[in-house]
Amino acid sequence: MTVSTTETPLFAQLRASADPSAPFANQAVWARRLQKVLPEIPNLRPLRIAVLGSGTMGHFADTLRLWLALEGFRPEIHLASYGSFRQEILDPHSALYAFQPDVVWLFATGRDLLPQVDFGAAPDACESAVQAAVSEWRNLWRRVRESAPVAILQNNCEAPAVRIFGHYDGALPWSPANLARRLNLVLAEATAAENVSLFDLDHTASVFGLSRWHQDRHWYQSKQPFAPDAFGLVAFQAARFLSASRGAAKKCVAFDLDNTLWGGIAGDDGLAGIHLGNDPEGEAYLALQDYLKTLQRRGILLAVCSKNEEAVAQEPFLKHPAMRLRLEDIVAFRANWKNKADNLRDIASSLNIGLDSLVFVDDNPAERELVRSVLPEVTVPEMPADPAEFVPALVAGRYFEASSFSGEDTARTRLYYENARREAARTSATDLAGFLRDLDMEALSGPPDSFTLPRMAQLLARTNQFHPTTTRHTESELAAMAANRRAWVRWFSLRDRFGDHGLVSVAALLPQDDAWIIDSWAMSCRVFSRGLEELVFLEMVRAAKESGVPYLIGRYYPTSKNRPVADLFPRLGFRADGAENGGSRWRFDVTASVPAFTPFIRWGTGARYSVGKEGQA
Amino acid sequence: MTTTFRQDLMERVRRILRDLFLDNSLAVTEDTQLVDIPEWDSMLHVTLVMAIETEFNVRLNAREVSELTAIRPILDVLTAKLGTQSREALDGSHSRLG
Repeated sequence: MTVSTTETPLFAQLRASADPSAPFANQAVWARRLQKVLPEIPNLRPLRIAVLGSGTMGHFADTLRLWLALEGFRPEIHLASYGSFRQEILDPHSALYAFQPDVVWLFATGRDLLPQVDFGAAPDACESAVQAAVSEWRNLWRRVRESAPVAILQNNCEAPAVRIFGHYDGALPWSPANLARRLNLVLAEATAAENVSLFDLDHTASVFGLSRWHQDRHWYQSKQPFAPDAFGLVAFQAARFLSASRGAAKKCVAFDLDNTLWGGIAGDDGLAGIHLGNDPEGEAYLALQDYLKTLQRRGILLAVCSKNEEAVAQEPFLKHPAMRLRLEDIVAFRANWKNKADNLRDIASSLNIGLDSLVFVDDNPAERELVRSVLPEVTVPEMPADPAEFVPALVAGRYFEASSFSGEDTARTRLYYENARREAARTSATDLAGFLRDLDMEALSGPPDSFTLPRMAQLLARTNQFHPTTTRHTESELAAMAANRRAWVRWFSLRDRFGDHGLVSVAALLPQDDAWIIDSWAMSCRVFSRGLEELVFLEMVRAAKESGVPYLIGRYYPTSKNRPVADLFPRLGFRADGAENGGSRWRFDVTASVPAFTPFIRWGTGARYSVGKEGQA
Repeated sequence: MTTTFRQDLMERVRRILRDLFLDNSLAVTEDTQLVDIPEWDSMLHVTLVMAIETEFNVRLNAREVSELTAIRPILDVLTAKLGTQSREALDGSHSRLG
């Protein structure tokens, strides 16, 4: 429903009070009020619709105008003059074509559609009569199409009121009941073949109630084609259908969790305490999940919009045995403490859909009211208090009408799910890169000396997390290593625009056969995730090349603390090189591999550095 | 008793017409002929009949409908149909259309 934020008070009042199931007397009053304000309502999409039917269509047309306007259309309606809609279709110079409709609605009912057969006719004769009736309508569609490139809406046949025998009619091919059924099947095939939209009047009549639908006294008195009290329902359903088939279909349903998708509060009642499938209340929530799952399978995207801790909100999806919906069914999962209007905005933009293609389902009237007032474009169904009524309310609301279905629809969730994940990765990478660039980082490095050796030994002794081998070396051991001309021992310091971190990393590489083995490599947790490890690694590679050393060997000895570097070597491009002392051994070929890292850290000039503060590892 | 009952019917019929014409000061009396109401047409006549059926929860047959050309016969037919019911049964059923 396209809602203007500047709509007139009268129109807003109509929107709030109009009810499709209200009797015709109410529809008539609303329709007359609408007629008065229609010219002043902004932002309505023009729709020219010809309603062609037997009988008096004027009262129905007034009701239809009301519901089309409430659906966001500015309707112009053409009615055929009484009893002449076939002539209008067949005459290319008729008022119908002069009207230049966008939609031609062939408003047939059983009076027009039901084939006439002989009493007790043979099955063959019944089938011929059905086929003949359908081809008459097909010819009318073709004549319409020859004269104008319009959308055609065709009613099918509601079940007849009169039965010849009673239940036995259901077993007789020539009974009106079975002729109507057979006709509807053949008509459905024909509409599909001719690209005509089917309006399932039979369905609407049965939803309304067949005995209330067939009010022949209104036909006798004023040629109303069906009970006027059903006008609101037919007009409302048609308006929803036309809106969806003319580009305003809903694409996503965003729903709350606690007391909407399951009974109870996951955060308070716990995983085993929520009602879901295990009792009468739980069965109702399961029914809603089944309905949502069906929507998802036909291409409607599902999103979560819940005030919750994310982990608590996701737990039932991951662990509850009765859950029908899984996390991979959800294209956007927003469980947080922000207001729901902000979350819905976020959901719409992350899926790249308009707010007007969003339906928001929440058991909480306050949340619904908030969303209605802040985001009037979002469709917010009024939800019944009893969860057993959730699905009937959503079905009756006709929020998810569509006029076609294809293989693409079934794959849509998968597509959006993958795109959302890719987007999230890209967004966070972009944010991280921006963050690192903004840090304006500068590094220094050098061999140990009397100033730096104490801090280097201290860093090796105290660092537990970024320390793949957890080796400890005293100052003198480090000094001895550094004295070996074939070894490479370095310190690294880092500063950024917020300050100087001092000496934060130590690397000691020792010769072993034709390689440098990374004896020790420690880095302060203060500078994790800054790109310094990549910078240090690039420096190792550069030095190895300069010294004619073809391989770097890394080793990871797992401890309870150094999990953060479990994947350090593969992440840097090392290849697995076997196991060693309960750990793993990794090899990097400096002559063959080119590390593809671009750390956002530049090398500083000069020998300025500061020694890290005591007590900081 | 009969007078106030009829007055009550009159008020409710007047309300229906004022709602339909979106005019809260539309003059309607027992003597009003429907065709004398500006913009009156056959479409509105059908609408009025259905509104009366809904408002008073009655059904009007073809012959009754054909006689409803003015307010007085409308009140007459309603009095005849509803007269057997107690006033209490009708109380609380007042409703404004829309």
